[in-house]
Amino acid sequence: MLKNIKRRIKMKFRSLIPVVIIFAVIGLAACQPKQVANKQQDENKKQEVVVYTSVDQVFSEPVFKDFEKQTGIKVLPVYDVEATKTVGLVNRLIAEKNRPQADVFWNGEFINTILLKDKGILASYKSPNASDIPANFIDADNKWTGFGGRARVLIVNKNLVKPANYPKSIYDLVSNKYKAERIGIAKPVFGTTATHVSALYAVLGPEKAKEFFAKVRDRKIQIVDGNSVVKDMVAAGKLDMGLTDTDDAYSAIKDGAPVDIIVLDQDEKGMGTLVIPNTVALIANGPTPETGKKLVDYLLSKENEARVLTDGWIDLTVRKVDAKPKTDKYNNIKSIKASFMDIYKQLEPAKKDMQEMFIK
Amino acid sequence: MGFTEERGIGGEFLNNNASDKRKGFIVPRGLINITILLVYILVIFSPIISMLIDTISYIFSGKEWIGLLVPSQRKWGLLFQSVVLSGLITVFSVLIGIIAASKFWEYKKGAGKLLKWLILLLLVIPPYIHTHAWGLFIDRINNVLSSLNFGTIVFQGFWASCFVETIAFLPITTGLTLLGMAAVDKELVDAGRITSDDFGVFRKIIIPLSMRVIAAGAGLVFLLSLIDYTIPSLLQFDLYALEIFAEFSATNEPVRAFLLSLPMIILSLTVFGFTMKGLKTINLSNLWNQASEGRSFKWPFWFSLLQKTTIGIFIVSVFVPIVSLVFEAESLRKFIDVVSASSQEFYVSILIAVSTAFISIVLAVLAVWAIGKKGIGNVWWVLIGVPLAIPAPLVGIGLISVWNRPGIIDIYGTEVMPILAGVIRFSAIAILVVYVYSSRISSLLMDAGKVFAKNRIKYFFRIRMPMMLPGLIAGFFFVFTLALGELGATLIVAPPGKTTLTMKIYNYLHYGGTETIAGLCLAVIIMTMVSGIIGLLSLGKKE
Repeated sequence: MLKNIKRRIKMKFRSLIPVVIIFAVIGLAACQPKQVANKQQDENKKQEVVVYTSVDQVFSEPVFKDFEKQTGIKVLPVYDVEATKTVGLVNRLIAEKNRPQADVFWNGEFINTILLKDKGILASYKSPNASDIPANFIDADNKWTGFGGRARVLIVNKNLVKPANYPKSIYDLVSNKYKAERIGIAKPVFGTTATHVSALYAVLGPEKAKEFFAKVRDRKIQIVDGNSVVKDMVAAGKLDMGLTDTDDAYSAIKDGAPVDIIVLDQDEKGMGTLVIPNTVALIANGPTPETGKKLVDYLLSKENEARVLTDGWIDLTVRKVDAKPKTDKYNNIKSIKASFMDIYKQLEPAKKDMQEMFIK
Repeated sequence: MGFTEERGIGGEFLNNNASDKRKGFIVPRGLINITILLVYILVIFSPIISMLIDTISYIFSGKEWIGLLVPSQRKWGLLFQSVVLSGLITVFSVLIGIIAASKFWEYKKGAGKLLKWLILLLLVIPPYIHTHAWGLFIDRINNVLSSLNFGTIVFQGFWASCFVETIAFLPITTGLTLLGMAAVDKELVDAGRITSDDFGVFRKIIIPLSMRVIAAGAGLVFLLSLIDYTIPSLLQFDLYALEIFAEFSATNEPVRAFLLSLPMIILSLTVFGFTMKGLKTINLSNLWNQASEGRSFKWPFWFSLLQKTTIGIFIVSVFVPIVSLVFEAESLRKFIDVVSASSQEFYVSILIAVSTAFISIVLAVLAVWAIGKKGIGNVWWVLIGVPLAIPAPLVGIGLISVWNRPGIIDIYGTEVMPILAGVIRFSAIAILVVYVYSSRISSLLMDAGKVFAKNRIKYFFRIRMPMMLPGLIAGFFFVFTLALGELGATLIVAPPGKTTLTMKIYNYLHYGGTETIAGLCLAVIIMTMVSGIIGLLSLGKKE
């Protein structure tokens, strides 16, 4: 009898284990909103700042940690990922317009920041730390400020292409000198590749740019999923060369891949390459604008620009900083002669054309 | 004793017989059903309704919309190749699933029983890891082929996408086929075996009687593969789903993306609804009959070979990614470092995935009860199918428009939001699993329980729930693993300062920290396996 009761209790206990586990975890979850709803909430918020960033977590997280150490202000970041095809945080900011949750947007490029300005999501703020940043990197209405930067480059597998045969211009990619199936670019409808297309639309004019990409399509150049995939394929020898960003190219070099970086169109008649600065902006009506401004100041400081240069997130600086770049390749780099605004204006028509040409 | 009835799940609740009336106050069944339906619609459909309202106002604002709703020739082409790819993935995963399930079904004890864990292991490996691992594997094969002066395998395009997605969806079709086969009355099988050979019984009795559940699995796989662009995009094959994202990216207008996705949603719902039709009524059998052991099946040689091949596919599909992850994780020390540096992400991920799975299961129990005798073929298949067919970022944007406002329930900016996103996206799967499993439960046992239980509450918690527990746990783990890997909607609504493991893994994918990615993926697999083992051990010896 006693045995039976014991067995029954044991069986009941067993079937209760998952329920207990679930409730324990839900209980823990329930603690969090309570904390948020605490009386200290407002006080705590004054010591917090919410930042949305498209900068890789591996680079941006240490920056936030240092800011926390220096100021005592807790940083609550939301990181974007390449896989969401740039429909992640920017659309979240647009959707949150009526009740913003973020204070600061640190973007690894400029085009979506200008879009956010257009949508009325950014606040004006002139950071004292931006006084030595050239005017062309600062929005006319002080809605955003640029610093540092990456460039569009060609990454080449040294084992497969001899230095004497390195391409010099973006037009070489559509010439018969190179095998099209051994060249790669990311889908030109997303990310910095789309920005690059817009820049070519701005500098060459839509017709000539479209003609160029028609050749890219007709030659059957490999269109891959993203810049990091281009880098991986070139590093692995699956492609001879491909267009990507300097940060991706550098990560391949850091991993010991047999690759070289070429900055295209740098001779006298060349149109230059696209330089993509980081942009920092304060969000209009964000929850804690004061801490937001402090973070903006910190991100735009010379020290931070030097730090992200050393870490490998950026390869170019907009002013003289106390850090050495990883390579001299980008000294006096010739950039495409089109303003950020001109490039932005071409974004939508360029993306539409690329959609028609490359998604099929 | 055993017989097969054509009855709806939960039908026993409908019997307002004298014994029920004696046991206390009875709320009209219709009222309860409507309440459950309203709760479900409120929780699941509020962001979708918000998106519909925005769409209507967009249309009435005079902006161009017909071009989005009616695909151009290029978009038709994309839709066609999406349907062909999803169709083939469905066919392959169902065929392999049926053959594999017929073998798994036989493993009732001993070492063979352990092989059933392959289904769970395969379920917890994220699809992008399959893509990555198989890419590495093919590279190694190509190196060997090159050294022998043979041609190389090109791992990209249509067939590579079809291969990887078939593997990724195999656990769904195999798991549901097993559930379907378990619901077949053993006495029918035994009777068949007197007059026919085992393969004939399998072909003429077991498969036809499981077909409704198999079809439901097929519908689910078709729908899930149709809306996923990530793996084909990685493998350089474009789909209609990618076009939706391109439109969203180009215009930043969710309504345009929603309008563009409508043809795909309508198409997938049509197929989904057609395959769900079979679940309107389902064969009930007596659970106690399933427990008895019969002599093992004798298969024709060719079928036995196919069975072994499919089990081999499972083993290879599990071990190729895991071995490649182990190699990439470099060392145990590195693995421990990666895991300990991500403790916050583990906490957030487990919290979100467990809560999502738990709420989904509660909703599933209520929904299965409300579906009752009418069967899943009525309004419920639409309610189940629509959330599955909506692209994830649109679910996130819809949630913002509903919940990011001051009010009594100020949950925006908390962990509740990604939980809600997960519940919206995956509770339908919990409903399907619980519904299918419920078909195993004998109505005779239920009726007996009702007679002897003191009241409805005791009946529900002491008889019905324990009998449904394995189904609830199966549904729980399906949703748990899917919620663990959710990215598109979570990224849009994750609270600031809280990152999930999947968000971190994808973030590192861009940076290229392969050892970190491998370490995190292995940790996810181990974590899911451990929680699976705890769940199954808690069931004692019950299957």
